[in-house]
Amino acid sequence: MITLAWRVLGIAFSLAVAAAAALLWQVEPQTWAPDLSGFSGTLYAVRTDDLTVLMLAIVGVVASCVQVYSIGYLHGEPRTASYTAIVTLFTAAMVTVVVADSLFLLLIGWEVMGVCSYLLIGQYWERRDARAGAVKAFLMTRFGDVGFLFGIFVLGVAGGSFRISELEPSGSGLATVGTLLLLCGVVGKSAQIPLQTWLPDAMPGPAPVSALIHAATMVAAGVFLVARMFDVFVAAPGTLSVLAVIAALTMVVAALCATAAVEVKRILAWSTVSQLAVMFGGLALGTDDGRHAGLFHLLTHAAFKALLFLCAGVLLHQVGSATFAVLRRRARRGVLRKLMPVTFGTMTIGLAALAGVPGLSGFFSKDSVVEAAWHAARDGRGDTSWPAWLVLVAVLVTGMLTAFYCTRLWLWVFFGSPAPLGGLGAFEEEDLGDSSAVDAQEQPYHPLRDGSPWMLAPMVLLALATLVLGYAEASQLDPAVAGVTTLALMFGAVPAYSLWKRGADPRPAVLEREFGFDAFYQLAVVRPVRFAAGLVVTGDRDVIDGWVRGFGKAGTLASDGFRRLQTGNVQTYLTAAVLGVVALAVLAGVIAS
Amino acid sequence: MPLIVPLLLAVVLFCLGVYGVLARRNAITVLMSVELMLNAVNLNLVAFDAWRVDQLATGQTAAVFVITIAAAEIGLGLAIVLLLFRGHGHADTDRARDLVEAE
Repeated sequence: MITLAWRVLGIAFSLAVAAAAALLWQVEPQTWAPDLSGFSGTLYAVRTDDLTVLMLAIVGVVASCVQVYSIGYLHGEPRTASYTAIVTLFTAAMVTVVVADSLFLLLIGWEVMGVCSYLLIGQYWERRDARAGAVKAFLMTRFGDVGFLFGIFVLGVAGGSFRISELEPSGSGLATVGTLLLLCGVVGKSAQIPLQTWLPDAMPGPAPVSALIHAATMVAAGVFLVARMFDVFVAAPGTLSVLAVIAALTMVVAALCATAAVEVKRILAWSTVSQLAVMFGGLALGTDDGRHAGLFHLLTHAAFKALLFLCAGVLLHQVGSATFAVLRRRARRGVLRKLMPVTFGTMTIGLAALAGVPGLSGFFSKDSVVEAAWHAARDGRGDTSWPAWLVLVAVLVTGMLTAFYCTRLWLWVFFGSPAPLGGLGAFEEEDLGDSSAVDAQEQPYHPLRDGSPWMLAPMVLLALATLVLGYAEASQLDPAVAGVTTLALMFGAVPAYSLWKRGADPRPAVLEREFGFDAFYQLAVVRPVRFAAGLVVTGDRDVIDGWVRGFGKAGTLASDGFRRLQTGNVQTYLTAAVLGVVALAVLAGVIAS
Repeated sequence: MPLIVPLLLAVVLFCLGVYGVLARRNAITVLMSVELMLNAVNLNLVAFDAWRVDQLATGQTAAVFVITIAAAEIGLGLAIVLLLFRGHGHADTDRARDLVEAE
């Protein structure tokens, strides 16, 4: 009953957000603050402009899809009411961030999103990896948020106002410091290097939550913030160069990690990190073209990444696991593709868009980033053009790697064995050649089928969006750029195909360890903190508690003698009292005389 | 009559009472000893009242109060002794040591 109420409320709210986006479409940019004196007037300032409308549309549509999909995904599971409520709160927090004109209102939404992501990643808290992932996500984003808070202080004090619309872009050193501090929060929230490892570890959460986090809320908030405060960032070229380096590094590293991951959701998570870096690359160019391209990519990415996570959710739901090894057991004979045609079709569209196949939305948006980078590199921004060159090269390399891992994922998950007769590919087990063994193994499973209509409808909707969204900007396509990115796509897809054809899946150890970031953090942060925590525990238990226990023990020991006086014989007590009175009287007499 | 005579009598009565309360084992006797002490005090009050020739008779008034309170006290005390007897089958103060400190 409560679940139903929350579901109705959640879907209604998401649709209302989408409707608000439609109503605000092409309305003149406005800001509004309540007519309150002092700080409250600033705190609740809101605004609307093109960026707000774009983000409201993304959040509204993706959240609606996720809410509807969740009905099917969480069918018959416990805690659905709280889950739906938190998803709604999550959406509301993102809306707060989007409409905020006050830096503090933005911060409130920003932090509420952090809490919601913690709660949702830990939805299946019976599982150890879910708990660990939730804590990791919370701690790493909070770590960045410390910088974010101080960035707000610095910018607000330096600019004389905490209203974003009133912030004067100034080239002063203070502005650079402020934007760099803001960048800490952005890097944490959007999972860029060096705080990128929480996003792949957040995968034990439910698939629709991953879709929401990766497409519309949370990680998109970082991109949104840079776009929102673009003037301030442009006025601080040092910060933009740092952002360009972070973006270039992240997009390549994350894409490389994705090529070695062996679980569908983990690959998608790494691809999110990589694609977010592409958006940051566009923003870091510092040109209006770049900002436009970055936001366009945010839009198309929201559509196809939400779609891909919802598809992965169907796989998880039906097969019980999204690891390649388990999926291969079913896919070896092409079963997945035949029994789940809708999932197969929509996921193909999503992966093609992610890889940047010509004609799909991802292709257009990625090309617009490349084009903006090319223009910025050619024209130069100020006296430096190296950040633009860096972004350009990194985006092209990433496009290649993205095509590689998308092809790899698609082939290994959905297609039958490519290996020549009798040969075994990677992820495949020896005994699968025997059909009776296969049947015996498959007995415990329920028969595979596409998900319920609740799950398929949002997927189809998002697939349609993925197909058509790109044509919003298709007329501005530069044929030369399109040729280069298509070439990069071929360079990625063909090796993946040929490897699969040979049944091989080489995974270099350094990529499987994901460049050892986690191991390094374990050594540099986790172990020292654990050690310090151990010291505190020891100090509390053995030193402070030792004193407390010692005093207690001393009191007991001291009172032991007196306890023996408690004989139970009232007359003894009375005798003692009388003797005491007599003694006192004698004493009083002696003193008086 | 000189003041010293009733005072000495009161001292003797009070000491008897204290001895009874502290040393006698029968609870009823203990109560009676308490009455002795109270009445020793009453004697003192009346004696001093007479000695001072107090117009307001404060001492006598106080003595009446004490007698009243003594009546209430003996009612309560006898009830306790009765319960003790019912519960334990005796009214021996030495053996009524339920509140002894447990080892």
